[in-house]
Amino acid sequence: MRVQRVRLLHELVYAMAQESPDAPALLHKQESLTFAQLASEVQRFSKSLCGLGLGANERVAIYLPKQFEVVIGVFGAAAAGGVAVPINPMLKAQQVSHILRDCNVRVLITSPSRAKQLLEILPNCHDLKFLVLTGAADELPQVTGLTALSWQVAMQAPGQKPPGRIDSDMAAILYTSGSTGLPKGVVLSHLNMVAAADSSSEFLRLSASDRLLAVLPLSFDYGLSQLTTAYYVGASVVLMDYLLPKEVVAAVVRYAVTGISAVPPIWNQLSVLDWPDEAGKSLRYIHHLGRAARRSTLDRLRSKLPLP
Amino acid sequence: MQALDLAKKVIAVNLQLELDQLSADTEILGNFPQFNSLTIVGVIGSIEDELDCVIDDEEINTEIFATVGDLAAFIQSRMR
Repeated sequence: MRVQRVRLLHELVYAMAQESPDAPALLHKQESLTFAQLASEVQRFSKSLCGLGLGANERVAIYLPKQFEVVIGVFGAAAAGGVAVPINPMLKAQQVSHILRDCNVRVLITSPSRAKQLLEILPNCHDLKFLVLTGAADELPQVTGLTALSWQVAMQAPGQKPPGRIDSDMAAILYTSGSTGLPKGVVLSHLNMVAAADSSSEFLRLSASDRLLAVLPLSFDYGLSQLTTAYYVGASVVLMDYLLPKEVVAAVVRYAVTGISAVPPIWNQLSVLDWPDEAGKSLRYIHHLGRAARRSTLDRLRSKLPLP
Repeated sequence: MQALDLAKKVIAVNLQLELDQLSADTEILGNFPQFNSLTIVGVIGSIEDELDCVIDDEEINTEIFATVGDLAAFIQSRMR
């Protein structure tokens, strides 16, 4: 149960940093961050964004595989009074270009190598002023009107205090997959996201002792919800880019995962694997979302999964 | 063909890249948006064709796709 009433997206992290600063918040490969560490990074990054001149409601896009910077970027953009635009890391340059232009992205967070792969489209992104790179910025060719700086340099900048926010302000824009045409941006307020986290954490009966394996892309609505739902109750999240189904099983054992949310194609693949008893020691629930489950998949999962 | 050259070749072909864009340090996983589970199938198929071998699913994990050098090390282990 929440002690403080959270109304803003970034307060999900800040509130837990107050309540249980040393509890784990985020895990990726061998690294982890506590809520206090995550909150400190988010706060520092939000000040840096404001120091770069990010105005209220201006868009900050993140184009990276799952790593700490994506999470810090999303919450940091919201904390800066801006709007987070997580872009699916599987999108190609032209699709990224559509999003950067369509919602007037001002700051793009990406890796030096990914930035190089975007060089052709960057000059056409009319509102883009800053690239924040997860590595060194000096190898990237100069693009007119665009300043590239490394994450480290951005984080060390003196920064500025972010503007205040209310819960009806914009927090994020998520793009549809674009299966029926060009992807469309869906605008979410802080209240939208916090209310969804509240609802989702309630129906999954999550508590601070839960640990979610985030296999869904963070650019997808429920993908981002994996983070907000967990943080609403102080649970931890393991970041994982879904590629080989057997690695999901290995991650459940390795990180003592208690819950997984996934869409039918993923569950269809996971249902044909052998799940060791070890996975059952931690796994408490599975969450099937997106559309109706195949009966045969559910039957297989019920017989194979070592659920309590 | 050396393992590193073969690794570069199968990645260039399957990801539609130029050979000179690739070195042992080039990251694959998380770096190229066009790299997905289908590409893995393609890359493994290309290696099987080149080495005339069969690679079992059990041998495949994402660690061998971290960098071009990691893939070369995997290929080297199959060349013996």
